Amino acid sequence: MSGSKQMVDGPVLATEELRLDVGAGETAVRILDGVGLSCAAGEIVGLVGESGSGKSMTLRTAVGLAPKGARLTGSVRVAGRELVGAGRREVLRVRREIAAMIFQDPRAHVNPYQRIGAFVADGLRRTRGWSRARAAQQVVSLLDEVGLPDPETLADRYPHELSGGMLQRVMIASALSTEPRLLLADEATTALDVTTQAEIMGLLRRLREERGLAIVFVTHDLDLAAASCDRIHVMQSGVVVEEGPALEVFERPEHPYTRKLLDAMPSRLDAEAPMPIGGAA
Amino acid sequence: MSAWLLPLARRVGSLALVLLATSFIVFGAMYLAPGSPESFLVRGNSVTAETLQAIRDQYHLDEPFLSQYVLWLGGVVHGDFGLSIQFRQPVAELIASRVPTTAMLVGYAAVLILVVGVLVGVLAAVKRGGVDGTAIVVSTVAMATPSFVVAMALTSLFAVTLGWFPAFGAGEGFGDRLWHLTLPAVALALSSAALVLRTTRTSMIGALGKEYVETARVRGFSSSRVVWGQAFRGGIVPVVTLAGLVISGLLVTTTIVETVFGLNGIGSLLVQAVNVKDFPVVQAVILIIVAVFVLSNLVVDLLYPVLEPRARAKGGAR
Repeated sequence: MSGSKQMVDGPVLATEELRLDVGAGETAVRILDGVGLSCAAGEIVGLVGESGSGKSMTLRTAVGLAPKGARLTGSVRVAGRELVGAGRREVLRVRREIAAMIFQDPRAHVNPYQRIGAFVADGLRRTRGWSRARAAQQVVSLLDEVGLPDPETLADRYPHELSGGMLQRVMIASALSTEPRLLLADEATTALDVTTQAEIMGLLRRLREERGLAIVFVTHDLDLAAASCDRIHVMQSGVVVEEGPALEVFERPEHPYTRKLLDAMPSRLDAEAPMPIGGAA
Repeated sequence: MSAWLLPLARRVGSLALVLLATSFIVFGAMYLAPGSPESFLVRGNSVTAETLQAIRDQYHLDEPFLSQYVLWLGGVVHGDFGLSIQFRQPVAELIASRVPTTAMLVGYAAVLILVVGVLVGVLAAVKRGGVDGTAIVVSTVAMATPSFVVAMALTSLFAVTLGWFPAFGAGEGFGDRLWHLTLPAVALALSSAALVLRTTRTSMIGALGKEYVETARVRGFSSSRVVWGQAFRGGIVPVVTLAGLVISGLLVTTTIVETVFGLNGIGSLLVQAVNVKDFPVVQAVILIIVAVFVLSNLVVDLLYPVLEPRARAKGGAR
C-alpha cells in the first residue's frame, strides 16, 4: 500500500468517482458523472460510446488535459500518481514519463512544419535532453518498430508527403519514443480506411504484447472494440453504463444503451436485411 | 535547373517592366505639374534669357514630352541618371551620399518593428487577459496615429522636455548615429510595429489552438517549447509575408520622418526634389523605392516555400 513497488503491480490507469463540471451556476454542465475505469499493464481497454458521451474527456483527464475552467473531482491515478488537483510539475512528469496519447486525425496532430524524423525525435530531445544524433538513431529504430518501410529516408520527409495510415504510425512511434507505460488512443483508427484500421489495431496489439503497454482505446465502434479489446466500458452521458470482458458485452449486452449501440452497427443492419446487389441471382 | 531559372528570369523581366511603367508615370506627372524647373532654380535672381535657355537646352526642356522621356531613359539604360538640376551634381553621387542615413534609419526601424511587434504579439497571444487587452488598445492607437504626429510628440517629449535624445541631425560615428536616429526610428516604426503585433497575435492564437500544438503539450514539452518550438514556427509565416511589405513601405514614410527630424536621407531628398521639379532626382529616388518594393516581395515569395513545406510540392514560388 505504501511502497512505490506495489504501485507498479496495480493498474497503470485507475479512475474513481471521476466528475467533471464545466461552466458555473445555472449553465453548469456535468460532463463526467462518477466514471470508474481501470487499465493494467498488457491490457487493452475499450471505452465505447456516442459523441459527447464523455469518453474522450475521460481519456484526456489522464494526461491533465481538462478544458479551461473545468472542475474535476474524484480520482485519476496514473501509475499511482494522483492527477486530480495535481500541480503542473506532476502533470508534466506523467506526460513525459508514463502516458502518451494518439489522436483521431494524425494529419492535424503531427507538426506539418517538421520533418518526420525531427517530429519523432522531439520527445527525446525536449524531455530527455538527448543529442540530435542519438535521438536520430533511436528514431530510425522506432519507425522500424511501427512497421514503416525505409525509415532512414522517411525521417527526412514532411508529413504532407505521407498517407494518413503512415502518419498514424509516425504518431505511434513518437508516442513510444519516451517508453510510456500507458497509451491513450482517442479514436485513433476512426479516420482511416478499413484495411489501414485493421493494420493499426494489429500494431497496437503487438505493442501491448511486446512492451506490456496498457492501452485505453476510445471508439464509437463497438464491433471494433469487441474484436480488439480485452475489456469494454460503455459510456453514456458521462456515466459508465456497462462494463465487462469484451466478448461478453458484445454478445450479451445488459444495458439498453449498449443494445441500442449494437443495433446501430452497420454490420448488424446488413446481417438482418441483406441488400440485394446485382449478380445475387 | 531551367525549372528554377525560368521563374527567376520571369521575375527579373517583370521587375524591369514595373520599373519602366512607374518611371513613365512619374515622368508624366512631373511634366504635367505646374511650374518649370529653371524657374525654381533662378528664383528671385535676375538671369539673362541666354542662361535660362542654356538650362532648358541642357535638360531638353523644349523637346516634346515623349522625346524628353526617351532621352532620359536612354541615359538610365547606360547607367547615367543625369545631373541634379538644383545641386548641379550627378544624381548617382547625390543619392549614394544620402543612402547610408536612410538605410540605417530603415534598418533600425525594421529591427524595432520585428522585435517589438513579434515579441509583444506572441506574449499577448499566450497570456491573453490584461496583457492582451493593453496590447490591443495601444496598438490600435499606434496604428491610427500618423507618423508626423508621432514624430512631433516624440520630439517635444524626449528631445525638448526631457532632453534624452537630439531633435535634429544624423550624428557622427555609429553610436552617435544610433542615438540620433532613435526618435526618428521609433516614429517610423510605431504604426508598422502595431500592425505586425496584431498580425502576430492573431496568427499565434490560431497556431496555439492547432492540434499539433496539443500534441506537444501532451508530450510534456515545457510551455516555452510549446510556444516557441511548435506554435511559433507556423504562426510566424503570415508575419514574414507582411514584414516584407511593411518594411519596404518604410521608405515611403521616411519622406515625412526625415523631413521632420532634419535628416539628410533619400526621403528628404525626394521631398526637396519634388518641390523644385528636380526630375532626374525624383525619378531616381522613386525607381529605388519601387525596386526595393518589388525585390522585397520577391524575397518574401522565394522565402515562402522555405517557411511552408506544404507549398514546396507545388514547385517553388507561385
